[in-house]
Parts: sequence; C-alpha cells; structure tokens
Amino acid sequence: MARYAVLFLLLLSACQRQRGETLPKPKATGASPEASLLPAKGDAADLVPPKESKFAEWPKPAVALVLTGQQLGYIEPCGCTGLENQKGGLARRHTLIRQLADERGWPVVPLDVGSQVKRFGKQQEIKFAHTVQGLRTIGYRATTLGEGDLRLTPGELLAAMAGADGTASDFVSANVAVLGRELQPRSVLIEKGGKRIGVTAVLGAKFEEGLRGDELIHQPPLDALKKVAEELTSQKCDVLVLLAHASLDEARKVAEQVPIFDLVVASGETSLPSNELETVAGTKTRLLQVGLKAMYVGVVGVFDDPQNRIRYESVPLDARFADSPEMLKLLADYQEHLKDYGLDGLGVKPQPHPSGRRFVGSEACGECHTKAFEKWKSTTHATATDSLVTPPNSRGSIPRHYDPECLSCHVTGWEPQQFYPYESGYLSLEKTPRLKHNGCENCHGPGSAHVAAENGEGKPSPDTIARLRSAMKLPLAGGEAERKCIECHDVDNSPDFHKTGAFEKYWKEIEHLGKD
Amino acid sequence: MKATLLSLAALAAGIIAAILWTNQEFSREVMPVDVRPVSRDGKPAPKIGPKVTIVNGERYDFGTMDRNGHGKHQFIVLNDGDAPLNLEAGQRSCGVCIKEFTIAQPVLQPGERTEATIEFEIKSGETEFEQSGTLNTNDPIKKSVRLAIHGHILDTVRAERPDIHFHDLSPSETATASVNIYGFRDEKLKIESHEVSSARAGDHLSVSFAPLTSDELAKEPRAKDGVKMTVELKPGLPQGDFDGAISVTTNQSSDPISVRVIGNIATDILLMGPNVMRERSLVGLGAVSQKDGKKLTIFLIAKGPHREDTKVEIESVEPTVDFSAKLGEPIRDTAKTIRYPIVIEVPPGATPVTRGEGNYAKIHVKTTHPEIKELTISVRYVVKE
Repeated sequence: MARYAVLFLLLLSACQRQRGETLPKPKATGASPEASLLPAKGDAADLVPPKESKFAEWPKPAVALVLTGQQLGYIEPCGCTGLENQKGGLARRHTLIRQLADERGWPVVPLDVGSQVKRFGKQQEIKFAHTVQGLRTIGYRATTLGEGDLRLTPGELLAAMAGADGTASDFVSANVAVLGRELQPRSVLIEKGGKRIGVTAVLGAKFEEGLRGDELIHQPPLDALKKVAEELTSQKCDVLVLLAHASLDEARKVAEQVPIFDLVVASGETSLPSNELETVAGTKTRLLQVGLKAMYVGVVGVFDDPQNRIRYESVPLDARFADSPEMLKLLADYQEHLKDYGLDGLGVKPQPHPSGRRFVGSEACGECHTKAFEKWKSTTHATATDSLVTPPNSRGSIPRHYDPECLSCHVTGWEPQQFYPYESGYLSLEKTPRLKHNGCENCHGPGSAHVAAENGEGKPSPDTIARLRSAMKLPLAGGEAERKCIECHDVDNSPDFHKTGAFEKYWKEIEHLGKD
Repeated sequence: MKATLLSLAALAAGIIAAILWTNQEFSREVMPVDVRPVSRDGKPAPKIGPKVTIVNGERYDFGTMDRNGHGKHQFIVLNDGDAPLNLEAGQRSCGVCIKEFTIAQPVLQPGERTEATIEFEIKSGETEFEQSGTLNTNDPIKKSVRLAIHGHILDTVRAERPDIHFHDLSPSETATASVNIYGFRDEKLKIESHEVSSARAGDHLSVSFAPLTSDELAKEPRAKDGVKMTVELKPGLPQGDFDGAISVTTNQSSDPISVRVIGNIATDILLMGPNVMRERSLVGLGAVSQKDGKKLTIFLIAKGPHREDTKVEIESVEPTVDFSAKLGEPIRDTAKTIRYPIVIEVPPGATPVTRGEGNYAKIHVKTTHPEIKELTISVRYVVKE
C-alpha cells in the first residue's frame, strides 16, 4: 500500500510541476522571440486582440510541424481596408516560420495540405507557380495538390511543380499524380531534429471523383492509402503524418480505417482552423483542420515527453508578423509577371455589358451633374486606381494596377466579382485614362445612351430621354444601392461594410443627388 | 495510517479517472492538465484561484440553418474556483458573422454563473459554418476559452460543385462531364429551364438532365431529391481557353443555380514537363555547370483519335555538339493518352555558352499525325565554368 501512496505523491508532484511550467510569464518587451510572438493588434480595430500564444510558453520541441493549406488564391491580404485589419499571406507566414526556426532554434518542418488557388486561367497559373516558389523559399518539405490546384491545366501544374532539379519530389499524394505516377512521390520521409517523419497525402473522394483531364492519374483515396500505409509502416518513422485534402468528416473516416497516423491534417471546409486537436475514436491519431484562406498557421510540437507528446496551437497571421523581404520580392515579381502578360496574355477579354451600353467616364457625367461630380472627387472612389499604382500601406512599392483581381474594383467598367472588363471599360492608364478610379458608372451603369440622348443625338423623344434618365438612377430604397456597393465592399475586402448600420454611415460620406 | 493511505489512493484513482474521462470526453491534447493543488494532510487546501467552466459546452452545434439565417446562443459560464473570475469578450473570428458577443456579468464570485451570448449570422459561401468568440479570463490555467458556433448551412437547392473543368481537350473528340444538383425540400426537384452562356463555347455545349439514382443521392445525406446534369462538349472548338456558365432554374428556388464550365482546347500533340512554357514550346534548362552537365526529361503527349497511329521521332537537334535529345519508349498512363519521354542533355565538359532568345537550342520533332507533322522545341540554358 505504501507503494501506491508514493506513486500518488509522485503523480501529484508531477502535476504541480507541469502546472508551474504553464503559468503565464510576465509579458516580454523589446524584440525577444517571446515578444515577437505576442499579439499586438487584433483582427480588426474594434475587436479585442487575442491573449498570448500558448506555444510562447512551450519548451523546445523535438520537432515543430508547421501546418497550412487552403490558401485559395490569397497569396497576400488584399489590404483594401488596411493590412492591419486582415490576416494571412506568404510574407507573414515566412516571418512566423523564421521566428520559430531562427530565433527559437526549433527544428521546423512546414507542410501544406494544398489548394493554393481556387480559380482557373493564366493568372491562377502564375499565382500557383509563385506560391510554389515561395513555399520552397520558406522551406516547405511536403505539400499536396488540392481541389483548387487541380483546376489548373496539368501541363501548367507540372511545369510549376518542378524544382530546380526538374523533379516535383515535394508534391506528395497517394492517389493523384499529374501526367505520370513516377513523377510525384506517394510519400516522403523527412529527417529533422533527430526524428523520422513520414508524410503522405490524399485527395478526398468527393474531389477525386470530380477530377477531369486525361493527364491526371487518380484512384479512390482509401485504396491508395492502404498501399502507402504498408510502405510507411516499414520505414520505422517516429511520426506519421497524413495530409488529407478532404472534409473533416472524411479525414476522420480515413483515419479510422487506416489507423497508423499520429497526425491527420485536413483541409476542412470551415473558415476557422481547429482550436484543439481531436482524437480520432479508437485510434492514436490526432486530427485538425487548417481553416480557409491560410489566415492561420497550425503549429504542432512533437515532444519526447511521453505524457505530453503532442501540443498544438493555431496562430492567426495578423499584423504582429512583419513582412518577409523575400516574400515581398516574390509578390513584386508576381505583379511584374501580370504586367508582362497584360490583360490579353492573361486571357482577360472584355465582355459586352448586359445593358448593351458603353462607358463614357466620370468627367462626362460631371458636365451636367456638377455637384455630384464634386462630391465624388472628394471621396476615395476618385483615387481608387492611385491606390493600386502606389498602395497606401507598407507594401506601397509594389504596384497592383496590372492585377485583374485588384482592377475589378478600382477602375471603371469592370465586372467586380468575375474580374473582367466590359467592352468600353478600363484597359490601362495609357489607353483609357478617363476610366481610372471607381467612377459614377460603376454604380449607375454605362452612360453612353443617356449622354447621347441628352445631347440630342438621334433626336430622341422626351419619353426616351426620361426613360434613359430613369435607367441611370440607383434607388436607395429596397436595398438596391446597398447591394450594388456590396459587389466590391464584400465580406473579404470590406468587413466593416457588413456591420449593422454601415451602409447608412458610409452613404453619408458619398451622399449625392442627381442633377444640380 | 492505513486509513489515510487508503483515502489517498482512492483520491488518486479518482483524479486519474477524471483526467482520463476529460481527455476522452473533450478529445483534446494540448491544454495543460488541469490538476489543482489538493490537501493531502487534512489541512485546508491551498487557494486554487479563479476557475472558468463552460457549463453547457464550449462548442454549440445549431444543426442546420438556412443561408443568411441568424441565431443566438448563451454559453453558461461558471466560476468553479475560490477567487473572483474576471471575464472579457475577446476576439471574434469574424466581425461580420459574429454580430454580437457580450458577457452579462464581467466579474463572477466563486460559485456564480453568468451568460456569454453570441449572436451570429450565416454569411458564408461555404456549406459548413464555424465561427467563434474568445472569452478572456484571469483563470491561470485557462486564460482564454474559444466559444464556438458550428453547424451546417442549408440551401434549398445546390450543385455539388460550382464548376466543371475540361482540360487540354483534343479538338477532335467529344468530352462529357456531369454534376449533381441536390434539392433539400420535401418536394420533388424539377428543372424548369436552363441557359448556356459562353461567347466561345456556347454552340458546342449541350446539357441534359436525369434523376439521380439512390446511390448518387446518398452522397448528400441531407438532400431529399436530386438531378444529374450532364454537359457534353462537341468537337470543333478552336484552340485556347473557354469559359462559360450554365444557369439552371428549378422549382425550389427563385434564384437560379450557376455552374461554370471552364477549360481549354489543346492540340493532339502536347509538350509537357518541368520548366516547360507550353505556349512558346520552350524548355528552360537554367544554369548548367560545365563540370556536371545537366539532364532533364520532358514529355510529348499524343491524344485524340489518331494517337495510336501516330509515330513520333526526333529528326534533328541544334547544335549537334554538346547538346542531345533522346526519345524514350511510349508510356500509356491513361486510356486516352500516350506519353513519349524526351531526355535533353547538356553533357559534362560542354563549352560555356548562352542559349537565349535568338540562339535557343532546338529539337525538331517529326510525327505521322495527319495535321501536326512537325514540332520544334526550343531549349534555353547557360553553360558556366
């Protein structure tokens, strides 16, 4: 019996020591690693910032897995509402990883669960290629192709995935390969911090079934994974990781059926990453999801302590993290590529406006609507293109006025959500200077017919003139004007616009009435 | 003494069981084990300080809710410690989706309870909703608690995917793809009309609909009915990208569903591989060390109706010195493609040279394809000492 009492006292003592280790430290000041990992600013100006990161108090892990995914094209925060109000981006991610590796001296293994992009076309191919380059610069050891990436053409994927040696040895998947199965590995073995880490990946069944393209070689995830599991098991790894580009539910089922993994990283479907690791029932597997738009980074510390072998923290990539110069250079190069290709080269073709009318530019509107025009000139809508040429933030040295994803809301005559110009819409500073900025016609519609009628062209009847005038009006009633605003002031780029009473507040800043 | 030891052992067993239960119940690994100091000699236990407990759980699952719906949940917060617990509404994961995050009583005395209320709105393009507010506390063990709202967003009708891709199609073959459309109302899903819009591909796209089988419908457990939309792209489109949309109106929603159709028409003989710029038939070999030389494998892909009959050969290369290209045996990865490897080599000891624009190395390929009889691949590299 005395033996049990001693055991109990040892247990009590250990618990107290563990508790002592996790007591909060005084907040560090200056530029120490701890200080740099403490939040200074929150998600948005009116939101209270998070308290300090838990891993600021971690002891040094044997190895730290840094887990990301679902970038979905957000290679950097847009910056429309201030970079300090938005999360994510490669430049901040690089800084976080560098802080862990260089300042703390942790052995860091970054891994990504895929979907760097989510749309299709030349701009996405360029963005994917730059992201891959960025991941390699940051030091990623393995990634996989997600559903969004696989929308790109196989040829472009293959070209972009190749490293300097011509191979894509860090693009891992048990069930998907581009062009030839031998061109990308089913699994990789990473040695870091004295640990052997086996990593494989799968594309979930729902996405795999939707794959199209003769050059994509794919099979159902479970069949493929069971085969790879045998290989991985024989490698005698210390840690086995599965990157599952799948929903959390599917990742959980896969983990139950192939229960060899220590960690399963799911791409998931919800905006937020896991707050805590989940234990998959009946297995030793821990499961997490990364959230959307790569706004957060998951850090999993692997420790030699058998009582506390794995710890996890989700870190928001907010303005605490300075921009990495290398990634800013990469972003500048990305924009330079967009400039070199031009709209034609990017496949961005002007489309007819549904009204059949053409854009005339705000100056033409201002000839009659002088007061409204003066009001417009006093708003930031009238300098919207300037803020792309020289962005008013810490990334101001990188112009964005060749980027269709930015242009669509910063010039006149574009479809704001689909990123293409209408015929007669803005094309460039040189070709269409009168269509710079977010002009009158973006809300009121193209004005060619109205202007022509007012000028007496074609001898219009009074009814025609009245009808065309009416067509240019954008009523406040019924939410019509507000819906038009939201085409650009969407949740991603203008979150404040979606708060209760926001429209009324912002309308006052641009309030104008028809003709003088 | 024996009674004391028995008591201590029983207490220890209880604590261990509680820890195991807690770990299993909440399936979490990372938080420090919450074991407060206890008395082991009969004296009053030391102060344990403030202790936060969310009585009704830290994650609220609302089940399902219509898109753009809104709701409210009250998390019951208990001070389970022996000192005042300070509470502060901290960061919200999304200022738009979490409309309000309030705490009824900012300081709780030991044993007191209050409500932390989260009011949320389903403003998301996703099908799953998860947002949270962080409750900051002065509990030394749990300085922040994430109060999460989770659930499934319900549409009345939804396509399983927002787009259909046709990649690198042969210009002379028909391609088909399908997407399931699910209805979530009790009534039968009916397609009332559809419209195809695509400046380039509209005339080549045809759309048909058929009821889903029970197996297909089972893929979306919440769906009550479903229709498979099959899209056929007929041959004859010129090379290049195309983009369009199919707008489908059903009996279950006044808003039509839009499915994008995107893709590109390639040629029957395609150049692919690492560092290949396909639109220029250009391969970047990069810097080549004179000492080591460099090899790179690229691929020619034969597809389309003539793929089995097409023979490929390398007719010549330029320069003929310090540069070679060798055609490998054809590989059949999929039923519709044949892959020919081409190993490009700049051998060790090659003379330093820059092969840039106007001076590219060339690989001239000859084929028996009825339309693509020859192809020139340019290779860019610099040999350095």
